[in-house]
Amino acid sequence: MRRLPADLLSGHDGKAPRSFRALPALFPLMAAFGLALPAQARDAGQESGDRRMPGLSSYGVPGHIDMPSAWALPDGTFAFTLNQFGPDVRRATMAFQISPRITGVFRYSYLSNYFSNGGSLYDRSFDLRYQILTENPNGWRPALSVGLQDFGGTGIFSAEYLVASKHFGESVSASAGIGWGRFGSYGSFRNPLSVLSDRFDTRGGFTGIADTGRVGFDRFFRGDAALFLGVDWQVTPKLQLSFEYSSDAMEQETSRMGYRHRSPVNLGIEYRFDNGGVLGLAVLHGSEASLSYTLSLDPARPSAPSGRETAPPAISRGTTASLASWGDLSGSGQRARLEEALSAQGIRFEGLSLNGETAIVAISNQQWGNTAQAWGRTARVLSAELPQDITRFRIRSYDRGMALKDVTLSRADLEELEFAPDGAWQAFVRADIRDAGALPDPRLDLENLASLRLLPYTETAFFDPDNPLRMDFGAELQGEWMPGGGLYFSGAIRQKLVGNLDTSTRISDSIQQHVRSDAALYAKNDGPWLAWATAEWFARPGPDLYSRVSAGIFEKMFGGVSGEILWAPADRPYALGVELNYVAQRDYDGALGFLDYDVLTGHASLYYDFGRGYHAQVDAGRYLAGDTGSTLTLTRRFGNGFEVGAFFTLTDISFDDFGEGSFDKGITISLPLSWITGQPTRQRVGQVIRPIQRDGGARLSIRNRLYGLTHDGTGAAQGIGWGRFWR
Amino acid sequence: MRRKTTLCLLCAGLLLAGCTGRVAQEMVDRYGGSVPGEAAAPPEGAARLIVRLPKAGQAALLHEAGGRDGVRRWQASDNVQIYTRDGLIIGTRGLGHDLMSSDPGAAAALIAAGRSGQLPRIYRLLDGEDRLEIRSYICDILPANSEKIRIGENEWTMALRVNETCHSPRGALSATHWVKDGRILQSIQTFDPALGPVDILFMP
Repeated sequence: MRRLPADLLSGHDGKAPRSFRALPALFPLMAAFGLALPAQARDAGQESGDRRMPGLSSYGVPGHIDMPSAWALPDGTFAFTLNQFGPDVRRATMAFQISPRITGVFRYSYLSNYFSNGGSLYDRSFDLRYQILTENPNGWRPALSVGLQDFGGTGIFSAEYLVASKHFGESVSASAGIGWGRFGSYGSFRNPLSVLSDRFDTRGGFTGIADTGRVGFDRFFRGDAALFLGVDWQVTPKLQLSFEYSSDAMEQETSRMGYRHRSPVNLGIEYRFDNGGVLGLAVLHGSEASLSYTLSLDPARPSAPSGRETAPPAISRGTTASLASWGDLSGSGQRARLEEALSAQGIRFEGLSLNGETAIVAISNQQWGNTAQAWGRTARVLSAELPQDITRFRIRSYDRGMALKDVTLSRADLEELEFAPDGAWQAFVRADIRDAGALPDPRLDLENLASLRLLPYTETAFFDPDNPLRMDFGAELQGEWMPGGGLYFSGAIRQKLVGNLDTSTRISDSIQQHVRSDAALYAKNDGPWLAWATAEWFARPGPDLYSRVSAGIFEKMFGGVSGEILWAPADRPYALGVELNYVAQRDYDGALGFLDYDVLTGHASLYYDFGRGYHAQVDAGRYLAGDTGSTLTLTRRFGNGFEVGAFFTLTDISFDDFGEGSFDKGITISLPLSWITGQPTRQRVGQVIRPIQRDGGARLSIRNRLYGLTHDGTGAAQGIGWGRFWR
Repeated sequence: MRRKTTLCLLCAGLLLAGCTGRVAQEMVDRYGGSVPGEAAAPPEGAARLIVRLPKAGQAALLHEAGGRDGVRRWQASDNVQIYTRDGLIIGTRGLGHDLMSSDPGAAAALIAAGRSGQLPRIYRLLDGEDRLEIRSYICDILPANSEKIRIGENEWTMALRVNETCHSPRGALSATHWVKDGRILQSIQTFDPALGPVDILFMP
């Protein structure tokens, strides 16, 4: 056993004692889809087997070199892969492990000189993989996965596969599989599924650009099939060698781009860096080299797992001031002290009333992404600043003047549980949490609250073949004013400083009303423009009911009036909402004028919480172009607030009339800024990624939708996030 | 030219989104409001605790800022805090994953008495998803020899060394305590392998 130093006064390194806050920050660059995400250094010794990132193929999915394997990514993780294949093909892939067995993939590819006229192909594709069997490491059962590659894009990379993978000892893993489509093109044989039906003999083709985006049901597992093999040998913990027998004949590349397929054998080498990045080099088909770099990202591992905030104030016995001295609160010193102490904890004090031994305190959380932590910090301050005769605290949370939740905590429980081993769970169980909607308002003298802030902003546009990433960067002046009574005025003016959104020359060829596809015209404006300017009124019309009425300029392209009602009981997994808007399309100059188009649009929405962070939302109604239909959104929400979602919309606009892409769909990523910085803040950053933005299925983008405003409080009432109550 | 512009824009965007700690920190300082809870000056004559984190290469002097029911609350100048009960760390606030609570069971009594024994210990740490991850261990407590330890600038004393080895399916932890007159004088305790050992010395 290591001999431990008995002299703790002298540091080994002779450094003078300094503060813990100097703990080094961890923010390497991660330039992916406009988001900056910290790469996560992994302590190799800490990483258990099932959290280890498997090798990825050049398609950015678990695999060997070009061929897939049956492994899954660690649950909930992202893998971002950049691949350069020969001089002519580039791919950027984002894979996300949606659940322990389901992997979703989005890929953007560039194929130089793909078309006969010398044009290049910019291709967006989606994959889905499902792990049917997990490996039994101690027995014979291999992992078994089925995959649909490029099932909804142009179909250039379209392939399906069934693959089994097995570890042999500590350092070798091998896969064997059968592929269709692209993976069934070398050494192929008649589709074994033909014994079921002759339909499996013929594979559907790709008919043209208007066909993009449709799910290729007539291609799945059809046409000839072929076998492939792959072997990885982990030479050292950082170095891996791979060999594979590929079943891809590279037919498209050979016929269109002059690719030479000399051999089905591919060889690769991978090096794993300490930061989790993996660099791969491979020789494919005896003719081309391929270079890949992969970074993984685990949303469950923020840069600072406990946050960088310092310790909370202690639970205290309270002041010796008499209750009577708190009788007249207006302008009293006690009140000012309480307000200041709460403000130091990121909580805005909005009012107080005393009822016997109970203090009812109205607050609004300014700083904490976690509602339970905001309640915990408030309770700590109240225990110190209120007289010791006050034995119960009722903390009533407000947001934009709307009462959300009412939490009752007793002084005795707080004292008993502050250091208790199961203090967080006990505190939740003993807290009495109610809907605050129907409770009397303790806010005696509502103040005018106003603020003005100057912030930077960015706007992005993806996947234009002329320039796949365009971005504007500028300054935003934001103002808000809350005169009380649930009224909330806010607005923002933006001025672009630098950017190239205005360089798009694409004229929309949409045959629908151009409700979204004229983005390039809106981007031509060089002067200041109004991002939004709204008057809103929030109220609680009944128990578990929330309402919003808004009027003004809602977003870059639309303004008008809007109303919404949400029913969201804390004890049910679902919530229901209805929203109705009458809006007109804004002029391109970003001022107050409107174009000659107005529309009545609105949706009924069902929100469902499946538990374990999985959420679904169904919106049915009328969209901006006047089309009717519905949107399905599936979201995985991590406990720290990181959200990853996917959505698609089908409306009565036919696929042909919709144009390229066939229907609206996309991926959303949204995360708290505190996930990156570790500092407590309610600000979020995010991005919606659509393969293409057209006019069908377009929904009004309005701020402060009620579900978003209320679901943190509803979650906290259900016990979510109480691990931070004492933080 | 276009590529250059795109690159510049990307850099600008990354800076905006807070890709470096410094920029992110400045953004938060500017726009995120104050960081709550700076520490007040320590009271005159408050007890002191030296804490070292060998893995992070850091050390700090903490002052006793209060306590209740046998728990002592130690505060660093930047308001990182450590809670101890009978010389064992039962909580941290502002350190790595943070030990939110701990159930040392009868460990403190055994260690202080210099007796050997086997008992369970349970730690609850934040897991990155705002949940508590419960880590439980079976610990063997084994007294060793008396050793001369330094407890002040020029102060040395003889104290009994007590070794603690803890096991769980996830891995092992170890701790060493130096005990005199039924009190832990100094100690090397580990509850989070990512943070590494935490060395503490109660100043006389």
